[in-house]
Amino acid sequence: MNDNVNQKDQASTPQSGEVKVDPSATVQEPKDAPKKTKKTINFDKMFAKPTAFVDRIDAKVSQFGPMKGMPVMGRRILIIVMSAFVFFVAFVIVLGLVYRLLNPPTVIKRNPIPSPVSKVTPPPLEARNPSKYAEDESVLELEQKIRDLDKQITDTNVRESTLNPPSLNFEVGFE
Amino acid sequence: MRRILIVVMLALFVNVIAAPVQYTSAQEDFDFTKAYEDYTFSLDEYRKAEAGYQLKRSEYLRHDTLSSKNEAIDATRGFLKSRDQVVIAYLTALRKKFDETPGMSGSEKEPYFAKVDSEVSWHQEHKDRVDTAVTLDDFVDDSKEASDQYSKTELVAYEVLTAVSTGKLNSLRGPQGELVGQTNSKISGIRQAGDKDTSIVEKWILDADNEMVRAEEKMDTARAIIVEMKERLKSGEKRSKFNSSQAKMSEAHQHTKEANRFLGEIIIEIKTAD
Repeated sequence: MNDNVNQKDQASTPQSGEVKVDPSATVQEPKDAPKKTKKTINFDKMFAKPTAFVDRIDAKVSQFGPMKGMPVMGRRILIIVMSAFVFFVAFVIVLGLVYRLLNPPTVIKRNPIPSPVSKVTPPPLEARNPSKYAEDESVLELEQKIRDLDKQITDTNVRESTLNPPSLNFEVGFE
Repeated sequence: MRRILIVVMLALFVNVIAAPVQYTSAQEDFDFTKAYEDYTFSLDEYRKAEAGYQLKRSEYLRHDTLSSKNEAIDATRGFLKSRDQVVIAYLTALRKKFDETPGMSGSEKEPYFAKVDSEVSWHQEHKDRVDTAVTLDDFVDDSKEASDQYSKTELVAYEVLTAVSTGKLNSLRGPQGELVGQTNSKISGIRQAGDKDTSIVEKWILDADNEMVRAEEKMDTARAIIVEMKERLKSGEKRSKFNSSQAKMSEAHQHTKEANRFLGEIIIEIKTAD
């Protein structure tokens, strides 16, 4: 079973940057002990033959001042991580643009909502088909008086709830 | 020497003239708003005094020492006096409110004023009498007296409050009665001129009149509830009866409003061609 795994790992290309089991890195065990192989990641070997892309970037980055003193392996890891991040962000942006193209956003047009204004509506005293009394002075005077009284009635509160007799304590005792 | 005498005489004269003017001005400025402020202040003082009484009473009952007894006597005296004071301030505010309420004549208000004044006098005397109490038993007796009297005070208060509601409704119903009369006259004029059918508005004016009659009936019922209220009832029961009386007053107010609405519709009908 373990041999199969080793064969499979060996078959995969190291250039791909994948984790590879290094047979040389296996721990030497006594001969009589059952054969065991330990999976280890050999980063040296892994990055020994980097992809052309990483190689090219590394060649340029290594000239850059702060990166000069950095170990080769660390620099390459950094390049890979940064590249993966940049590709991921670019992928998300492209995905968003494609989605936006396929589903154009519907624009909701909001009409301005007027603030509610509290207003006492006077009784509709206007006649639709006016009679000869519609402009009669005494009728108009009566109308105005009725309106005034209506307002007075509405403003009147017959209850004086703040003036109810106070509740007092009359229980005085010392036993 | 003569100059000094003149200055002193002048100062005395000015003082004698100015003092009554200042007193009259102070009397005029004392309205319901100020009376109500006094009442709420007295109520706060009463609550503090009651808390003090409860504390000193429990301390006396726990320790039963002469010192705690004296402290309990002082606290109880303060409590009883503040209780009388709150009743006096309340009745004064109530009197001012009634005084400022339109819709009732001076002669109609007078019996109510007399009842309120009588209650104020009693509580004032009782408040002064509390000072003469010496033992804790004296305070217990004084408090019992005040409790019995407050039962009467509550009745007077409810009577005055009902009179305030009556006055307010009267101040609306008076002008409304005049408007009904004027509208009726106008309808009669139109009928005599014969240039418009008045049968509908004649019916509606009767409806408006009926609403006014119903309002009057509700007011009578409300007053009857208060007149029938007995002194011996507990405070809560009195309050309950007063609330039902006020509910009748509200119904009377609603009928008054309805009568006015009918008058408005009559005007629309008069202004509309057949």
